[in-house]
Amino acid sequence: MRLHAEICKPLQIALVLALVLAVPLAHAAGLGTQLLGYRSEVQYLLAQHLRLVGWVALFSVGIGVPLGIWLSRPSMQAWCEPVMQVLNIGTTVPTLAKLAIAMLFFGLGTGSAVIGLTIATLMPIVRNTCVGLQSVSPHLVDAARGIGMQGRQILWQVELPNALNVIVAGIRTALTYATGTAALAFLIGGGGLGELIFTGIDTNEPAMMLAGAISTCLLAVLVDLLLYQVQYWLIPRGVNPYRPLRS
Amino acid sequence: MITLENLSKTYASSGLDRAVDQVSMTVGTGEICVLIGPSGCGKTTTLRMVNRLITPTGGRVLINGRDTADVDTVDLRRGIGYVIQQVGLFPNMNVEDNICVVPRLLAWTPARMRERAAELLQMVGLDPSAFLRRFPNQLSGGQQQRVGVARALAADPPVLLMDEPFGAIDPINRAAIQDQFLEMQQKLRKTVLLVSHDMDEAVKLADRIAIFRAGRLEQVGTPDEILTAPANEFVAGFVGADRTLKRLRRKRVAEVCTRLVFSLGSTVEVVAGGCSGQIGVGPTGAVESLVVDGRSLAPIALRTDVDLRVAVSELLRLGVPWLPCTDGAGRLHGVVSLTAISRHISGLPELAADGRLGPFGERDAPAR
Repeated sequence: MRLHAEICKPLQIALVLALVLAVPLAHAAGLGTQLLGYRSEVQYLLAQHLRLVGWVALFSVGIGVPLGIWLSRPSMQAWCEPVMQVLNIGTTVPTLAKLAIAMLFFGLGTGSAVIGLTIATLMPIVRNTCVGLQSVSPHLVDAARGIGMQGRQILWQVELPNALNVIVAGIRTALTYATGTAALAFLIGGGGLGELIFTGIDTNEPAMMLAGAISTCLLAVLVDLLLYQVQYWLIPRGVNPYRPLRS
Repeated sequence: MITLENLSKTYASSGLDRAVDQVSMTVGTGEICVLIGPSGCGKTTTLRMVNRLITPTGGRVLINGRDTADVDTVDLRRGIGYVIQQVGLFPNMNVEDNICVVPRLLAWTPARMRERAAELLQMVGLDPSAFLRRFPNQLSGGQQQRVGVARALAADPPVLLMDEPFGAIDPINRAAIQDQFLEMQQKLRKTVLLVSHDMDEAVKLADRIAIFRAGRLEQVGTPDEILTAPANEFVAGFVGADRTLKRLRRKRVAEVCTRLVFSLGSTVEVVAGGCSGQIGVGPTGAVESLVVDGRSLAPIALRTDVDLRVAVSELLRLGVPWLPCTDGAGRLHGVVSLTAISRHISGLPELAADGRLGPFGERDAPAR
């Protein structure tokens, strides 16, 4: 029963959110049929959008997690903060500006969008990975070393499992954000649901704009939900805050 | 056997001060050696140099004659059990997986690991069926450290290093876990180096005690040697002004009691510690009545295997100069008197006396 409720809670929130957004709008403007009219465009662009987010996820996790692990090593202590500050700059520059800069260097297209968005999402992943690993109790590492585990074994069997919650939380934040902001990719020719939004604005067609906005929003909620499931099932039982143990 | 030879550690940051300075000592196979001293005296550093978590800057550590510097560090550590005060169980693994960390590194078969985990839990006094699948966060501090000890023993290493293992456990549980550890040690005969800051713990557990101050070894000896003859003022101050009382813990009633010769179902006349009395012996040899110094007491007797601290406590509580003692089967064995205890502890010869002074030997305790 309890397990069931744990899984369903975010799902309920998502549904309520969707209803809150969709029902009154559709009702007020009689937009329901108009929105459905964009079904095929949404379908096509959604796939494009997902591909874009997929690439961003692959690169930001693929670069961010190893970088975070590397920075968390005691020998890298002096480098940790400087690198983090550089990444911080990458985050504080507005995403639109980052995309524009990426376009300057790499031209129009999906590639530039992926690069720009990856830079935007790297920071929470690296920081959470690094901080998560650094906050694993030094006594665990001492005990592990004392009983004869080697560096790599300690990392995989002790440090990463115990930091996983913080690491995945960072990935969850980053990718949910990336899904929403990927709408901007359209502006540098990266495609995606932004096409409906911006074209809708430009041509003064609120239904088109809403079709893009609502689907982007729902997609972001779904990505968040998916990563919640990753947390729920992937984090080891003994340290999983989403599945508390009976004491 | 562990041998430390001029073992030293100097930290570059602290200049010339040695954290550990020329420590030499030997711990025999099957012995528990307690390293003790005030904070920062180098006892933990010394312990951690044995499994090379800290690399010595001078001297050698030999385990069974082999220089530990010549052994691969990882192999060395897998052959040495390691227990720390903070326990350090991995919260992401259940109890079974925690215990089997080293066996897994040594590539044991799953069946053998399961069997070993259950066996060890049993040994440390936890029910395997209830605890194997639990996670560390579901255990109390005492239970966690029991699992910690089980993990250290998993691959049956001959040497065990323990860094204040029972320091964070509440006093009642600590006494219980210490007793259990001693009981296990009776069977396992590991060579144990144990760091402690509690002299009572040291006296209770140690075969030998090594007292440290500022990186130097001040004295090594059996608890009795150290409590009887502290090498210098520091040691005397460290073991405390009540050091003679601490020695009582290490001695059993059997060592000081005077045998009685008697027949079953009779009344034995006793004169000990200057007081006379009668012990009524039942048909099975149990004490059935007791009169000491003209006072009739409940038939109480001390077992010969309790320590003298308990014996003295009972004698003082009842305000009597002696009490009967019984063997493991509850049969009257003899009498134990305050006089005999004080003469034994202070090293005076036992008096086979005229019935007024000390306890007397078998011949002096006639059965009537």
